[in-house]
Amino acid sequence: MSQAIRIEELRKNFGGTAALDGVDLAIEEGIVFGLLGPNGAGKTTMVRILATLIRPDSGRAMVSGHDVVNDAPAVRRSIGLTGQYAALDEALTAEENLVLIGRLHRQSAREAKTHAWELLATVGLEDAARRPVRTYSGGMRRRADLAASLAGRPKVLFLDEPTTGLDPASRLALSELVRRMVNDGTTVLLTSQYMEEVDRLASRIAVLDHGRVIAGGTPADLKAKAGGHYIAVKVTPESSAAAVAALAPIARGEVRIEVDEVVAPVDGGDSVIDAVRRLEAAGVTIDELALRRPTLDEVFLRLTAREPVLEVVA
Amino acid sequence: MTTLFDVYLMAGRNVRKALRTPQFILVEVLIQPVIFVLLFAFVFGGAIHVPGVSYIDFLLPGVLVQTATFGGLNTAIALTEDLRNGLMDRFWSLPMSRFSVVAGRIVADTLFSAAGVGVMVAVGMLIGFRFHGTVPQALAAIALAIATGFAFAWVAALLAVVFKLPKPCKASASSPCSRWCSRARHSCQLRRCLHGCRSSPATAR
Repeated sequence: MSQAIRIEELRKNFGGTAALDGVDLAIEEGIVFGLLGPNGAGKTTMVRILATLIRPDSGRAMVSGHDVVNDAPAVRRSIGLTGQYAALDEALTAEENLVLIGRLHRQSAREAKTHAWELLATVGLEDAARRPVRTYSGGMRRRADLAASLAGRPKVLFLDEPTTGLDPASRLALSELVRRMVNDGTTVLLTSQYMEEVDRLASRIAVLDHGRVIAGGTPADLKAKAGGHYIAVKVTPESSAAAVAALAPIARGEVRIEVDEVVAPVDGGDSVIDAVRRLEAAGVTIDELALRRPTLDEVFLRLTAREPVLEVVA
Repeated sequence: MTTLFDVYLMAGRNVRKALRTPQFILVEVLIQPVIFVLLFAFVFGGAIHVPGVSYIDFLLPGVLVQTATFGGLNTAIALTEDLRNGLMDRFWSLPMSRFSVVAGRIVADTLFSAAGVGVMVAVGMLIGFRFHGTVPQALAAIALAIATGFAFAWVAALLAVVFKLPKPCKASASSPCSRWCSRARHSCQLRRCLHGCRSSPATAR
């Protein structure tokens, strides 16, 4: 299997802070690869290096077999980039934007135009195609931007947090488009802060934190890493201590109180009955009880060893 | 060759953009050149006597060069706007000549400045300006004014790339033009504002 992207010991510092601190990664062709990480993990830095926008301090990165430093023009011929903000010329129409990019990719005028309209149809912007982009809504801009990143018929597509500012319908459309691209043989590198999004699209995932890859594999691998099932019981605040005590003997780890729930990691489904009996014996009234698999968000928090934080706006 | 083609594409983009902003064309190509000629010829001109030559004949070549040179300011501002825009990330990730972003800008601005020079010559002739030499010499004079503007545009482009020019104007909250700036939604207003800022010592930084 040939590799669309190969990264070796990649490092990049910004003013003494390591944005990338020795990243190794290999991404095979024709898949959606999810790059996950919190804000400031180095995702965007990595994408910008791969898209030849910035140079790494050391290490090597190859895209489609071309070195991003020594052979940047060849890399640029084979990539498409959608950043976190729509990169379009506001004064031009979507059609003009796409045709310009197609032509800068050395397509003939006719080819660029035909392809532009195909893409505009794909992202559902045919009706607005002849209006200046500045008249677009946020969602329309993002879709036009996505179309623009496809105008050069990229072999490798970078989507840097592409769902930022998209409504649910546009999110679905984006997923659909990504799947179609991959069926046509494009490799997609998708960055996100949301596990759910990556879980839905990507077949391989790497988790980036503080400029290092801290975990990698398939979504199932990652979920397995964070352990098995757990039981979540909703009880009244007064009885939560009793519930913790009752569940402690059957838990595989620490029983915790999370907001209004008592959460106990357990071995499997059979322990539910046991748990109910024990809670009943302890005289705890059960409001709600659920057996859950960890969500990728929990995996993520566990891997990055961070407590969930509510951001307080001062 | 491909570089020239990219320059053509980028210049085309800039011309297209400008045509979408009629205020820009109106001010840069029509109103400002006319005002400059009339202002210098009638308001200031009355106070100055030039021996041996009619004042408008003395004045116009200077105003031509001045306007063409000021065109560089447009280049600097438009280029700074471009370079700050997220759009540049897209351009830089394309297999295009990077030089064409700057050159395409300058080519487009030179076209506008050439149109402005044409308007000034026309207005000048209406109020009595005459070329003293032959037609080819007259054309060469006009070409020289445009070429001067073209040359200065490169200097302005360099300044824009190095210093990110419009910042001082935007940052000057105390100046009278700042109110204008804060409302400035179109680059053409920003341009007007900068023209004002340049002459205002409070903002010269």
